[in-house]
Amino acid sequence: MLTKRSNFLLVQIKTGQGPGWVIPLPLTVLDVTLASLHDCLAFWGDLFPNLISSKLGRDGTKNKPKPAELLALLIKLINEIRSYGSYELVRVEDEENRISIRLY
Amino acid sequence: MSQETMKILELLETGKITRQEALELINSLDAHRDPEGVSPAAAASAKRFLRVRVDGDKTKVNVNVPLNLIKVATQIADASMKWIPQDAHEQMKKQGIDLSKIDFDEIINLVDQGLSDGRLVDVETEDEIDGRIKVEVYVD
Repeated sequence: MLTKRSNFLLVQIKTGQGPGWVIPLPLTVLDVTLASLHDCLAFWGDLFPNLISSKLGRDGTKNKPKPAELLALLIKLINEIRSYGSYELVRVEDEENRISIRLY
Repeated sequence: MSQETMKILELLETGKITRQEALELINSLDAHRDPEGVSPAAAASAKRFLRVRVDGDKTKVNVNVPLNLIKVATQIADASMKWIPQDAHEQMKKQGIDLSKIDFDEIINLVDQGLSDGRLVDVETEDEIDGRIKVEVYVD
């Protein structure tokens, strides 16, 4: 629709004089993994509602969140992040350190 | 259904336009949409970013968040409100924070439409230790 979807999230961390760290995160793999985990949690959560329960809502809140619902929201957020193609999400740098998160 | 279509239907309902005119307007709207059904205005809005720039002598910050991502995040925050335990709600209320009064749609509307030049924050200051710092928050 807008641009092609981004497939990688690259986290770059550089502190001091060292070479720094580069952490590539394949978003396609993350997407599929989270979707599978969501399906598993939804299935087992429906089968054994008390076995898989979230710590949230322990006080008897009527709308107790299901882990699968929480995961669905996370998947929605990641899908949205991916839908803008290539861009730099965050870059913070000072005299010695630099952190950047970029999508490709 | 888009806002434009809703407006046309309202005009038809109140009798300000005829059925034929409404049909022509809706056809005209459809002609301006791309094959996936997104109007140019909606597509332009979807490409907008909220940008935070901090430009200092020692520190530089550059944050680019797609405006639609903020909309999704606020939807998620809005949906998550029901999961906050009641006692936590009450404790926050005692400190003057009432989460139920936060209108996420209104916040997004203000950011999305209320700014003619898209500039939310534009501050420049000078500090003896940190030197000059310029902070900008804008939408483009």
